[in-house]
Formats: sequence, C-alpha cells, structure tokens
Amino acid sequence: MQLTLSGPPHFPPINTVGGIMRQVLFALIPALVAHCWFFGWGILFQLALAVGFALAFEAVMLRLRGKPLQPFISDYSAVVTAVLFALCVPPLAPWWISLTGMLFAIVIAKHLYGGLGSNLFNPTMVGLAAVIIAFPIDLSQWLAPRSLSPGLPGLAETLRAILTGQLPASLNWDTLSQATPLDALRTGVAENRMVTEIRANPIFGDFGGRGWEWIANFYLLGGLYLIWRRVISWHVPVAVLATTIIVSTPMWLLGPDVNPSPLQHIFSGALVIAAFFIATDPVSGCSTLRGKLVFGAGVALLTLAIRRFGGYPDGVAFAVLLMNMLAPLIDRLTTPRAYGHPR
Amino acid sequence: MNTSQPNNPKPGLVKNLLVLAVIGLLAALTLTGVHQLTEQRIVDETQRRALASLQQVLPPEAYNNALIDDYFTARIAGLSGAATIYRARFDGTPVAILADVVTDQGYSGDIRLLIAVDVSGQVRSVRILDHRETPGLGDKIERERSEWITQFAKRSLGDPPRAAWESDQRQGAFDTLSSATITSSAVIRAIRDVLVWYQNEQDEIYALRSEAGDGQIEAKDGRE
Amino acid sequence: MTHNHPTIWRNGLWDNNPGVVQLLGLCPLLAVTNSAINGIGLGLATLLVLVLSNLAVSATRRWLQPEIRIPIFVLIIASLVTVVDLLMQAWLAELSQTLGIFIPLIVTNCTILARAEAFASRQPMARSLSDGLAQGLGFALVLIALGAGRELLGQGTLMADAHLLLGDWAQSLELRLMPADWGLLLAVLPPGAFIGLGLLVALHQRIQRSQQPMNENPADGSSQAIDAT
Repeated sequence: MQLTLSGPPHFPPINTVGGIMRQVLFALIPALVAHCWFFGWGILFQLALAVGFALAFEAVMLRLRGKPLQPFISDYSAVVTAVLFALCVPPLAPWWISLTGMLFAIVIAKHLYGGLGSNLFNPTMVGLAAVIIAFPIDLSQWLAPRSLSPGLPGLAETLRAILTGQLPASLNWDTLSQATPLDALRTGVAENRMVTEIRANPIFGDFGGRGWEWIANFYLLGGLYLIWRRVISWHVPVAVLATTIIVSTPMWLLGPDVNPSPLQHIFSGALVIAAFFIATDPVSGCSTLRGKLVFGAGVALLTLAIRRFGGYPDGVAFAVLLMNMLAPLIDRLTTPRAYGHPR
Repeated sequence: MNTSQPNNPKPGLVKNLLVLAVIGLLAALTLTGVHQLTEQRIVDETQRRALASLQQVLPPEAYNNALIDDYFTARIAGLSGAATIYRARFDGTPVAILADVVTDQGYSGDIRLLIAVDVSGQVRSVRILDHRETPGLGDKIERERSEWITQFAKRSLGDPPRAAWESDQRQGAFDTLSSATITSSAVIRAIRDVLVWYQNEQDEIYALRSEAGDGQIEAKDGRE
Repeated sequence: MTHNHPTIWRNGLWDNNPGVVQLLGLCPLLAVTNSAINGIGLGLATLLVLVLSNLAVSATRRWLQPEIRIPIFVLIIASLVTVVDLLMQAWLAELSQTLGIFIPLIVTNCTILARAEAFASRQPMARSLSDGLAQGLGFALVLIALGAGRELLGQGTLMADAHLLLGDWAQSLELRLMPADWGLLLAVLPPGAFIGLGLLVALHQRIQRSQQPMNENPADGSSQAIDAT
C-alpha cells in the first residue's frame, strides 16, 4: 500500500473526527440564521427531520454491520451530512425528501461503501442528487425571500406543509413561490431576453439572488473561520471561486446579454457552500495540495457547464459527484515526489 | 481438449478457407430465408406503426383517404426544419391536416409534435412524438404522464386570441406545467405557429400536389 | 476442471453469473431494465442467441482452427442476432420498438463470445446446450430482477405492458402494488439502473461470502479475463 502525505501545514493536533465536525457545525450557524431570516421557519424543521433520519439510519446501519454504536454515532459526521443537506433543499420540501435524501446519503453512499473514511462519494451530495432526480418539482419550489413575499408561512403552516406535502388552503404556490434566481436566468435566456432585463426582476439582489447572496456571504464567513481554524485548507475553496471567476468573466465581457456575471454565478445556488463545506470533504475529495486545486477547478468548471447546458438548474451536486470519481486518479497523478526517490 | 491441431500449415489454409466459406454460405442462406419470411410482415408493421402514430390525433373513422401518402412538406415560421403536413379527407372533402413539426425552444433540445387542425382552423388534438425534457418536470407534456396536452383540443386562433397563446406564467391563457415554464411555452408556441401558418395558407393547403414517392419522409428524419 | 451438468448450471445461475459476477453485457443490462417485461424480452432474446450460438460453435468445433476461430464465432453470432432481430420485428413489433437498438446490440454482448470461446468450442453439444441455457438464464434473471425492482419502485407496477411480449391476453397480468404517484422517479431513470445493479452485486457478494467464508477460489476462472462492454 502506498501512503500519500501532504506537505505542511498539517492539521493541528486538536482534530478528532468529532472535533472537526463540531467546528463545521459552528461555522454553519451564521448562514443558518440568515436562511431562517430570509426563508422562514422551514429550515428548522428540515434540519430536525434530516438529523433525525440521519441518526436513525446511522444507528441501523452500524447495528447491521456489527459495529458498536459508540463512538461512531456521536462523532457528528452524520449530523454534518444532514445539516448540509437540509441547507440545500427548499424550506417547505415535504418530509419524504429528507427521508429519501438521508437514505441515499447514509445507507448507500456512506455505509454500503464501508462507513466514514471509505466513502467514495460525498454523502450529502449523493443524497441531494438523488432527491433532485427523484423529486424535481419539490426541489424547484423555493419560497420567495422575506422582502418579496407577501408574508412567509407561519410556524404551524410550515409544519403542515412539510408533513402533508400540501400547502394549507390559505396559501398557494403561485404567490408564495418564486423561481430561484438560477431558474429565472435560464428561463429568461432561453426566450432571448437580455440578462440585464432579466435581472430587473426583484428576486435578483445586488450581485446574486436576493436573500441568497446574504446566505452565501455567511457561508463565506463560516468557511473563512474553518480555514483560520485549519479545519480545511484554502486550496479547494480558492480553486472553486477563482475558476468560476476566470471562466465566467470573459464570457460575461464578450456577451453580457446572454451570460450571467461571475458574481451572479457565485452568489446564486449552492456554489459557495460547496466550495467551503462540501468539496473540502477530506474523504471523498483530493488529499494532495495540487490535487485539491485541480479538484476545486473541476467542480467549478462542471458546475458552470451543467448550469449552462444541463437539464437541471443547479449542477453543483452533480459536479461534486463527478469530481469525487476522479479524485483517486488526481491524487495519484499529483502525489509529491518523496525526497530521494525517482519519479 | 479435442480440437485437432495439424502441424502442416498448407493443407490447414485450404481447409480453413473451405470451412469459412461453408459456414459463411450457411449463414447467408439462413439470413436469406429469414429475410424472405419476415420481409412483408416488417413492412406491414412499419406502415401500421406510422399510421397508428397519426391516429393518435385523428381517429380512423374521421377520414377515408390514404393518409400516409397524402402529404407535403412546408416551412412554418417559428419552427425549425421542414414540417410534414398530412391531409385527411373523407370522400375527397378536406377533414383536417396533421402537422408533424419540430420546435427547438424546449428546455433541453428539440420537441417533436403532431398537431391535428380541423378545416375550420380548430385544434383537434396534439401529441408529443419525441422530446428530451427533464424527467419529472418537462416530460409531463406526454399524454401518458399527464392530461396537460389535452387542454388544446377545440381551441383556435380566435379562442383565445393570438396574443394570449402563451403559458399563464407569461400572462397567456394556458395552464403551465409546474416548474416547466420553458417546456410548456415551447409547446404552446409551436401549436400557435402552426395555427398561424394554417390561417395564412389554408386556401392552398388542400390543393397542393402530394409528395408521396418523392422520398421526403426519409429527408425529414435527417433534419436537426 | 470438471464440467458436469450441475456445475454448469450452478456456474451460470449463481457462482459465475454473467450479470452480477462477470459483469458482462452491462450496456443492455443497464439500458433496458426499466420494466420487468423489457427485462424478460431482452433476457429471452439473449438466451436464444446464446443457446443457438453455443450449439453452432460446439457442433462445428472440430473444424475450427485457431486462426479462423474468432471470425467464425463473430459470423455465427452476428447471423443469429440478425435472425432474432428480424423475427422480433416481424412478430413482436411493439416490444422490438421498445427495446430498440439493444436487440441488434446483443451481438456486442461479451457473454456470448465468451461462452463460445471459453466453453462451447471445447465441449460437446449436450454440455454446451446446458451451458448456454444456464448462462442465458442467469443473465435473464438479473435483467428480470433489476427490471422488476425498478418498475416496482418507480411506477408501483409489475409486468405492465406484458401484452407487448405475450399477446393481448396478458394485459391482465399487470399488477399494481402501489399508487403511481408514490413511485420513485429515480428508479426508472438511468441512475436507478446503476444503483440497482450495484445493490444486486453487493447482495450477491454478501450471500456468497456468508456461504463459503474462507473459499478464495473463484468458481470458474475460464471466462473472467474478458472485460465488460
């Protein structure tokens, strides 16, 4: 067996799995609060459902595999998977979205591949991709952010919508929901409207989607905290964001009428959360430093391509999964030469 | 193993060629036989399927001409490529046209539709022949998956007025499939374009010479 | 290597199953298995070609020199596939339309060439017949299991459209086990095929290991060198 070592800086010694996962959860709190402010109570229920299902599946799978529940169940890894998943689904998505997502994430992507550390694919993204394909309508029904909505649904209405999959009679989707900025852009460009014209729609904010851009800012903040705490290295996020800017800027300058600006790309959809919290997954991502740069660049390129050409509006989940498959190869090609050894 | 392995290559060569020839001949004979046996049935089946696909939008009792052979090709503004127009007649009286058209305004690629328009300019029925829309969203335009496509029956350019031939997400008169505005709109506009074309050309449509035998059916498959 | 009939059957159906152990013919296996009836249709067509090609190869094996062996196999298999394709177009037109290109593509299914090369060209006709039936059934069973599972999860039915294969009386075979709205769309789409096959392979290995924990010896090494399509 060949061991692959990254050069310094190495992780500081505080890092147990539980410790890292707790740091990641701390880093997500600001974005969570922002999400709650812009899109209402839904996220809290999504969080509770996803964490509940994740822990239940984790316990069942540990039992089936003949592993002890402790320490695995309390290492927070399933919780992080669940929280990231909940942040990516629409706030009023019915409960079976979480159930299906966690089934694919925890049972199939994590435990059938051998548990934490052996998973080829990022569990959150497997869960997300599964529900995007299985329930495309539910996954595209986002609420309009606070300042545009006639009133976000209340606590009881939110709960009923999530439990029954149907909106209470007092509400209806046409007034509540709004195409996500990415959807609106794609639809607009398809009917030959100019980007500037499309962006006059109030769902667009200063540089991304209204509400979305603030949540993305808080992901950024959380991500920077993780880099500062050395939980993640800067390579992947920088590669993702830099590649997005480098690729989309010339296209935007050449055809500002049909191509969204780089900021638009970064601040809508799931690109920022993916850059800091998902593509940095040490298990399914790359481990060499150069590999991490390649990995991040690949995620960004594929995301842009899928947003432009694919059948689903946001391609982050698919991009990460495709790069997960390439990660072992990238690692192999970018392994640093050991001192004194020929190539 | 019991495969014989002679050491001398020369007789082996002749023998090999002989074996190849004999087996090749046997294969050719078998294939010829099966081809003879099935040829007529396959032609019939192909015809039947082509007719069955047309009969999705026009019941067989509505016409009595050779529908499949009574067609011409036309370019319709707003639609891509050449459209094939079949003409249904009953005892020589025009009944309806069946337009086999392609729109390139779908969410992911072309959508091919079959639209039946009455002599009066009213839509009789519409079906989707081919598409690549997102499963679970845009593919609800198929009759097998939802009722959506049936809302166009008996509508015409005056009902609703031409400007309202749009999806209701875009201030038009027709239902939109949820989360599939582009797809819905592409289909609605394709129908509208055919109706507009029909209105402009209706005096000549039933008088044009049929192109059957010109090989236009093959040409149609090759378009974008 | 012993090649008695029980071993041949055990190999084809389980130990060395073409679908879940040798992973041969994956392209059609994944592409058409969105319903049980499609699985049965392609499974039977493949079975027929496999049995006939095994018989033909075994019958002519004493005249086949190594230099012309492969061309002859290809000739035999291609002719048989064409025959099956024509027959299906004529008498099972609807099913043939549904399965589309995957009937002619049986010719590229490695299982068939693999069995011709590894088994039928070295064994008498009775055993080759047995082997063709066993391997073909093994492949068909995987197709059917995957097709039925995906159909059930995706549409809530079993044996829908059975009349395409069996004639009009078979319309009553359709079994609805849950409302169509509950279907998991993922199951009938291409990703469902990959995930489903992965789960079947995992299940097979799990059972295999629990049965013979220490047996490292693969059941039949003869055809494992040929790669999947």
